Amino acid sequence: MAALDEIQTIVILMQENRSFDHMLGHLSLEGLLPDVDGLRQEDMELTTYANEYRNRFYWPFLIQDEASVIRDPPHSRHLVQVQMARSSSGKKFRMSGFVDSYIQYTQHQTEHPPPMGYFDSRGAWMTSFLARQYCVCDRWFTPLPSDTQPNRCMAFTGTTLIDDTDSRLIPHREHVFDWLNARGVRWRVYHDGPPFFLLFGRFHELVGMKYRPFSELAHDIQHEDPGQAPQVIFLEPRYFDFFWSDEPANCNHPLALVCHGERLLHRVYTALTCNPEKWARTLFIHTYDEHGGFFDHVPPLPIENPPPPGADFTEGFKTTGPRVPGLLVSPWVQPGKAFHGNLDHTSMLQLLAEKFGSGPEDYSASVNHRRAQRIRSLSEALADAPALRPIPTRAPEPCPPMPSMKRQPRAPNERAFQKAALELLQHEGPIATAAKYPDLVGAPLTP
Amino acid sequence: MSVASRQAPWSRLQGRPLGLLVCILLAALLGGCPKPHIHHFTTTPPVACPGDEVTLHWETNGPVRLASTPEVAGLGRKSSSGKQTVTVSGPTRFRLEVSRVFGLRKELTESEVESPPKDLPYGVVDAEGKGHFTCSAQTSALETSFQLDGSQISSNVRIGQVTNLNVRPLVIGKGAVTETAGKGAKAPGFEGQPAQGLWQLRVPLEEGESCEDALESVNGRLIIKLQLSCPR
Repeated sequence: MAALDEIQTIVILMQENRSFDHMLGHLSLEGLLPDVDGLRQEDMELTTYANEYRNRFYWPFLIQDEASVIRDPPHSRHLVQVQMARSSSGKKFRMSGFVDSYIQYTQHQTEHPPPMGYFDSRGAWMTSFLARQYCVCDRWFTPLPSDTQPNRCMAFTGTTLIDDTDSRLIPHREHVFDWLNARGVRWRVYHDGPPFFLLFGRFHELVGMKYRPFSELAHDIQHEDPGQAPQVIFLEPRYFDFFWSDEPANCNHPLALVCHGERLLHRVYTALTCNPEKWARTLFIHTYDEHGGFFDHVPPLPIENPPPPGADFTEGFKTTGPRVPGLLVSPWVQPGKAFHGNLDHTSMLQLLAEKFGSGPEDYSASVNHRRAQRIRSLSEALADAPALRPIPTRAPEPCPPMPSMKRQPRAPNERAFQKAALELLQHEGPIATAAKYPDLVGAPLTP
Repeated sequence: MSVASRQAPWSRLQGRPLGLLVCILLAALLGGCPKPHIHHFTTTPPVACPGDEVTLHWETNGPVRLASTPEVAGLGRKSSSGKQTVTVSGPTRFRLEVSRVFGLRKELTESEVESPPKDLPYGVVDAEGKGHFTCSAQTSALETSFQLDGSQISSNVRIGQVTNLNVRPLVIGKGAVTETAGKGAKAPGFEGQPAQGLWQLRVPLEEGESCEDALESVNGRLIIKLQLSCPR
């Protein structure tokens, strides 16, 4: 395929906990990309999106002030089932339980429950800009109806031994880094604070040359010899779940403000496009690990995911989770054209297997199992020829001041960061660790 | 990241053994205590008239602080569980904060009372463990019902018009009144009735239509919007 032959750099940024309708439903609502399966004005007052709690119904509403999101919506395996609301016949998903699960979990009773909030093109200004200028994928689902750790495991290993998020290192096999190493593919991580990859262990790698601070991305794109530059770049935002940072998180996990995530996206896009020659052969993939408990109206796909040997859960998954935003940003997509094929995080692994292996089925048996159930490769969304036009640009928006959110770790994934950071410190010693991850110094790492 | 920022943390680490010790002791102290948790916080009913009493009910695992906007008398510091009845004079947001470990760990949530009530949608969704729909060839209709009681809405709240929010004609019943409303149409016959009570909803099947098709045609939901008001 011409596009895959021409693309030299694949860049992956996975942010946290926002659904498709929440971030990009406005594309159809505002008439910006009418073809996109987002929110529709004609359905806003009908029953289509209505969510129920104790016989009262709630509709999507425009988020005017993020301060109204006072609690993180729940998204554990059990509560995602409540959110997707299987019909009594078992044949349909009503997508009507987002408010119910939120109030059950948070006891926060309000006229505008945060899971029903959505951003318009001003709130999600950079995501919206990229969607309109490049390719938005409106059927990109989280692989599993569960939370962060199992879904990130699917994204970066193609399978999962866990079905929930807990305060532990993530048991795994077949990490994408091993797959790339085995094929001699150069890869690198740019991180803004301690990366999520910390939770996969691999401590020696974490303090090595493959991990660089985010601030070096633009310089490297500008100056590094293409023959030496990484072929696959993983971008790691500043995570809200890392609990000991003076800087505001930009991963978009509530209660971090979306504005900071949008600015990160702007920073990444500016860095990647600062070298037009390299940009001409770059594919930037942007998505979210899971929907974060926010409403989406599209039912999940019926994709079986049985527990693999050695899994710590016994009940397999029967469906994907809800949709998340998915963007392909590259000269090698048709500007402003949406891709409607079924995707999930393993679509990225299929793409890597096509680019660096012998084809989309060259990643792993578990990825192929999903492919056999019609999860497609991202390569199908690429164009046959590059778009010949000036690189679109957009000015960044300012963010309101944010107080420090340094805190004791409490949520399971926060305690997982704590545990992993402590192990990193024990394995690699304080000098190497502190030099690479200054945020860890002074952090309460003893559980 | 600058070179200076890489070096500074390590020197801070070396220069502050006492600070580190305090951090470790604090972490051990915090780690050994259960985190604050709000098991239950409701304001009943959440829809009320100005001058109505509402009951706050909370169950937590630590000392509680209750506050409200606008201010309501008698709130403040409370024990971990309790009930309190207060009078609302308008829309009121109650805030509950539970703390543990001398206030170092906190959890908060809020509960709003809509007063006076606006037009609000109520109804039933067909989902496991939720609403129940019946349908048969004999009745030739898809039917469901729901009860509004004192836990959802104040007994003082009255009905004005009722709007059918569904794409199909709906037969709406409450007490002795039954009215049919087309898509988006209003049914005025319930005016003045209390909102509390049993509401019955019915969608007549079309010729040859299956129950399953009828249910899907309304997205598995039957919803009416109640125009609500308070007696003067």
